[in-house]
Amino acid sequence: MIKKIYLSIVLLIALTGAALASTFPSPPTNDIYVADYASMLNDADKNQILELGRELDQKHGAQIVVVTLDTLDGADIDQYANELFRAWGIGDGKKNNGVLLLIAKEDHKFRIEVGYGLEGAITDGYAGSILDGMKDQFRAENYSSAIVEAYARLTLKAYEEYGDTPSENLNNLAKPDDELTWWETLLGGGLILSFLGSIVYGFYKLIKGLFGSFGEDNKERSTDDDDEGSSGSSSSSSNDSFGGGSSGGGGASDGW
Amino acid sequence: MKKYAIIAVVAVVAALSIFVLGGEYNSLKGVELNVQTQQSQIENQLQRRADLIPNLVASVKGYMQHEERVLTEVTEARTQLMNATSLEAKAAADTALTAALGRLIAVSESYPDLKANTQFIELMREISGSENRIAVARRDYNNAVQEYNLKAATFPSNIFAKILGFGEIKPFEADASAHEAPKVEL
Repeated sequence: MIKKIYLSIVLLIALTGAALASTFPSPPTNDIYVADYASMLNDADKNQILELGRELDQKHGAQIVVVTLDTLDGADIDQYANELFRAWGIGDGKKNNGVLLLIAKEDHKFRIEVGYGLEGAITDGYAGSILDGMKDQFRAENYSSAIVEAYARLTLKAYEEYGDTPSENLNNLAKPDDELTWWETLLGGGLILSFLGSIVYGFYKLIKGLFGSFGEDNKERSTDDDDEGSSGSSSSSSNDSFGGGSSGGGGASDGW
Repeated sequence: MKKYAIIAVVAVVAALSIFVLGGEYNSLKGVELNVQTQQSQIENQLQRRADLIPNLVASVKGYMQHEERVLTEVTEARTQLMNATSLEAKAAADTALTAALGRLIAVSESYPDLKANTQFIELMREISGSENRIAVARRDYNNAVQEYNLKAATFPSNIFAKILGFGEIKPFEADASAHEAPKVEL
């Protein structure tokens, strides 16, 4: 019996110790998409991120959050990111569609932690390539612009996940890589096709002009221009809150 | 009259103990179920990584013909993992696979063409992502086990745990050092 009591005391202490070991900054209650503890962002970029983050959250409930720290104090970034993600509850509690971009400035380490719900859209490989793309700018200490670009690329993928077309602004911010992405290939292919198409059409016109009309096509053009109410992102209130999302450790880590 | 009182008392005591026992059973069962959920989470993630291995071996093979031994080790460790049934055997096989992958990564350092191969880079990212998922699942499992064991070992639940046959569960222990596989500098 004494042994059991002793054992339970030891276990209790161990549990309390584990709970104390992982103390995180308390979650921000407004402007939740950026927690710039290491002051790596300028005001304009910070506002840009807040705007993008809020719009995505309002439209699809997905939450993408940037956290910058001075140092991890020797903690493992993988574990820290996962635990911070869960402690704050980034993303919707049911969809688990949160993303955390964690940057430890002095440690030269960063990680993208992806919630279960967005693992399909933001694969580990893609997360790794985003971090890869940040390295050069980070080495040159151009933190702010690199973070915005990474944020935009993550946001873009979230829109894709929900089959939504992002704003042109977002597309511009998420500068494509040097290599062709799939949509660039598609765009290129589209241009070639339309070029060929116009040649064929030109020939058609020419032949039609020479041999008279083949019969006018009286296709009625359907006028389905009913702009699906782009549910206005009017409310610019900063009363955001985390949705209780979780993550199972998806994403990628790297250093610069 | 006295007889009825005794019967009533006995009935009340019996009813109470069924309630208490039932409640204890449910709460012990609850934490035990949580352990099982977390266990299947580990198994899923182990499977996920194992599924990536054939692709990795295939993409690497062309580059390192002279490293047959390393590749065989990886493939064998994977087979070992796929054949493991108990969680303990899986933990052991997982350790072996992680170690074998570590050697493969170390060897890949001397093949610059391979390291520049986009498919290899992508696969390595997926594999290290997978390893992190395993680490998270393992942590969740061990936390669940700890919660369960704490409940089953502390008063008053320990009495009921004994009566109802809830034994101690072992944590999932992979050799921690094996999980610090050398990373490829991409």
